Amino acid sequence: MNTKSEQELTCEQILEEFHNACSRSCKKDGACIRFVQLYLDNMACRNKDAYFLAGTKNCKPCSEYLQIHDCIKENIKSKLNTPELTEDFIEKVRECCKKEVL
Amino acid sequence: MVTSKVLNTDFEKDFMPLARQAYNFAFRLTLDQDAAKDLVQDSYIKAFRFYDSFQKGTNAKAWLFRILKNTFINDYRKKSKEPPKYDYQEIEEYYNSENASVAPDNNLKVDVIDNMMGDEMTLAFNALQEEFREIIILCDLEDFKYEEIAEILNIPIGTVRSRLHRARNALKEKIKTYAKSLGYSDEY
Repeated sequence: MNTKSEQELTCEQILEEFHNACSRSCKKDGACIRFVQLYLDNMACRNKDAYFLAGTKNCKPCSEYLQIHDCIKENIKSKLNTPELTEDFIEKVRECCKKEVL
Repeated sequence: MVTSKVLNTDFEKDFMPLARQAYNFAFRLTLDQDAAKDLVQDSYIKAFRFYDSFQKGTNAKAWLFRILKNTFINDYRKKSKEPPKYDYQEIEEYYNSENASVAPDNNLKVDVIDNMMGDEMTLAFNALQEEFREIIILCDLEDFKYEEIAEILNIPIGTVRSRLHRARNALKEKIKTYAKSLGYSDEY
């Protein structure tokens, strides 16, 4: 797949590629890692998960890749520190918008 | 013309519940609490000013995030402390090519990641380049789809996909470096 055609793919085409790739392996054309990435990106269809997981079991590097990146994703979601935003600040934003009306 | 009544009803209902998520995105872009607040405030004022052009029933969050991102590019990026930029187009072209299809090596243990504290994960995440931080936030924390991320960042869907892939690998490497420096494990 060249750069141009990849850039021009629609989401539907990407998903079609994903579903068509399930029976292939990394040894052939790297299709396996591509659908691992789609799965991580929340783009893989949930009802195809079993099909997907069965495919990755045949590919140890991709299976491990999925495990590590899934773990990182969960840890980022649960552990990333973000300072609290106070109600005072949200009220200040409201006031600034109101001034736009006046 | 946006009226006071609109501010108190539609705009309030569509956009004010998104303030915390907008702040989270702004903070990950600026890495500075005060700058993030200014960026959120400026973005809301712009959103309000152009509320007439917002199509009711479409994705308010994506619309607001796009305004925030553009405001950041136009007004804030110059002020932020960013590491030197690379030629992303060149790198993305490589990652969109067949060369990028080979399976990666996996040399970081799940247990090591699970044992890391919030501060350590945050340090590793904040050490990423801006382009990587923003795309991970949009996909993993805000659950945007490729189309929405493409719209917010004004890049093609193929670029969203390849940049996410590179961002995930870069984050893994940062975590590995921090984990090693903290003595979590010698087995890498």
